[in-house]
Amino acid sequence: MAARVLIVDDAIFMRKMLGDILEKGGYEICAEAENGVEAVDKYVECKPDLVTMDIIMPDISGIDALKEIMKKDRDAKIVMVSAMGHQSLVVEAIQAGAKDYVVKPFQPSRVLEAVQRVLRL
Amino acid sequence: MHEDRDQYIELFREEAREYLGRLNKLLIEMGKDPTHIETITEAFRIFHTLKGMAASLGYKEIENISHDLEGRLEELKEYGKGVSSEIIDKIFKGMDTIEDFIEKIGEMEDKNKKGNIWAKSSPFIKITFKEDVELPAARAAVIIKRIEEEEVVEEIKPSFEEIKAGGIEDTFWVRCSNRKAVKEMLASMEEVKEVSIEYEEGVSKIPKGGVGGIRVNIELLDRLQNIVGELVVFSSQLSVLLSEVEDKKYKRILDIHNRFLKDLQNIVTKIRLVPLSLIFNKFPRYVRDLSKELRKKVSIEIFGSDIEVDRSLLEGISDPLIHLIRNAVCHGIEDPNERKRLNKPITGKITVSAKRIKGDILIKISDDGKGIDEREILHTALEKGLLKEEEVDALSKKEILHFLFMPGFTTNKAVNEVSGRGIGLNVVKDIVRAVGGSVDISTEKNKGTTITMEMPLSMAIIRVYLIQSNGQLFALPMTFVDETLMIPGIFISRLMGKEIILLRKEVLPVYRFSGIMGNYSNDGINDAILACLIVEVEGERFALIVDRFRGSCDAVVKPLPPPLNEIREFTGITIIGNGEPCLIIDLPSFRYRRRYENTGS
Repeated sequence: MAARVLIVDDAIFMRKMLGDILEKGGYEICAEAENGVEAVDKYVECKPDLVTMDIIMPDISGIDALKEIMKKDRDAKIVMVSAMGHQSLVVEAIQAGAKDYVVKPFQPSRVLEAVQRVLRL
Repeated sequence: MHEDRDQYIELFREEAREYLGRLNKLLIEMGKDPTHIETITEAFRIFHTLKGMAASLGYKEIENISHDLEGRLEELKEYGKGVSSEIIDKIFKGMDTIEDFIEKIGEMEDKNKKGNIWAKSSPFIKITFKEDVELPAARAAVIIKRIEEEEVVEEIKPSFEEIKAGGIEDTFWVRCSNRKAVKEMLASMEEVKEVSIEYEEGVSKIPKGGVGGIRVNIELLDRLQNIVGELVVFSSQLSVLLSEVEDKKYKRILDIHNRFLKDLQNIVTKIRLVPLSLIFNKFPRYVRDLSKELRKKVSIEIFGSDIEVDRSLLEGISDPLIHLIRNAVCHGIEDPNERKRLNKPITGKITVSAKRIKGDILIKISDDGKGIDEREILHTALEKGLLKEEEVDALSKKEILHFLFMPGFTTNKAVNEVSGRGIGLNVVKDIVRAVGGSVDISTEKNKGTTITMEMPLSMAIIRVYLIQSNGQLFALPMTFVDETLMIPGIFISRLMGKEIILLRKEVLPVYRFSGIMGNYSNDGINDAILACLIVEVEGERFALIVDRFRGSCDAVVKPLPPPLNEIREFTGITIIGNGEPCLIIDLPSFRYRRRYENTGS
């Protein structure tokens, strides 16, 4: 049974790219969200096995969205998606409970490795 | 540190035993007269003291028992109830247990020491990432989090804070329990290239208490330091009060109290200390890159990077220091041809030195570059209308240099991409002043420039003068005050409608503090002798008349709560000896108010 993923990113383009990589890797995209608030709602709705979360989003940040999801589910598996310059934000996210991270621009192999790693936990 | 602790332990045991002896007697009296309130109160106080002493040495069991018994006795005290035989039994039992613990203390301490010795030789696990790792700090964070889920992480090198700030490239070290399990866990992680064991060489800094670093909210640390600072200030006042009391009992307790307090203060201060090297270490690379871009040859020498300062001080001066170095490289050091022409060594030299002088730290940045031409300063000042032609000759060199600290002042005509116009020295001065310090500049054409910053090592406590105006007390930080004096009112004369005074051949404008405050008082106008402070604000010296001096003191600075904190004229508030709150004046802001002042007619 394929693992189900929730993709959170404010850019349609990113969501599509990530979605394609994951589907090719054999995962099922159960939902997409374009901001932090939607992310929490969709998480509760579709109960994914893993979430990919963009770290910089308008309105509530990726880290805040992460915290909200973790309040609902302590064992939530969230992988942060970040651009190169945001290392300290990524560290902050990990301190807040993110399980791993991938860096834009994506290398499909790295994305799939990270997802695999986290699902194995 | 260990010897100190031994002293305290002996002292504690001695005192505790004495107290227990006294408690014995008290309990017997309680048995005879269960409602005698003084006996209950004394016993309550003793347990309270024991609790405090045990807590400060980390003896949790004794602390807890004392706390429990103190609580019970407090209840009895409050409700005026008598002591029942059950309570007396309970207290006796508690005392016995405490006695047992006191016996064991000696043994415990020895064991702890041995424990620390073992900690010294416990090795680190060295973790190296693969070459293509992205965001190594984040990878380290993931790994550390994983390890923490299973085992106890005792220490991380570099510290987590440094890692978070981007301080690692592909390697970090972890010390933890159950190394074997952790090594296995790491072996299965893909991003990890290599895992090995390393022993710390040389003198290792054992984390106090044997367990490694913990992360603490910096706000809590600030509050902690603030409160401890207050405690110290009030303790010294308590000491003064009690010095008049002859009772030896008070003196002894106060002595112990003060000793613990001093220790507490030292520890709190140490927690916040970081070495200057954290920022100094960045300079060489910075200078190298910048000088390459500008095609200049510049070397840098650094002294005193071991000195430790409060972390907020470091954060505050970090930017100004980098900017000053940038100024030195961009505008100070000449290009190689020019230097050759002037018979200077082709490689320009920048020297950064830090020195500790009493309670302050002195940081100097100097270069052997082209210096700043006084004539150019005068020229720019005239251009900007800050100076009139006639006044030029009357200015001393120091006063000329002071123009450099004015907002927007720069003698540089050229703006280029790399160096911009150079950071305004007024910004540096503001920042240094904000941490309670002062900045000065000395420069000589073609020889070079030196910027000197002097800052107090402890930010939380500053020295202030207490002045009274219109019945109200204010605190004025000593950094602004050059001198204080009493001047006869008749020495004040008028020049073009403004009050001035002639002080040792210097003409100073005179301002009355109450006038600036806007509630002009007639106090002191006709006094023969006036209380006067000679202050210097942003290069401008003037005489400030107040109603009275009320001495000086060390003040613990507390920030004003919003919305009061938006009032620029006050930097904060402090509580002085008699419990009165006292506003701390921000003199530069007052300068701007001065324009609306009643000039005293």
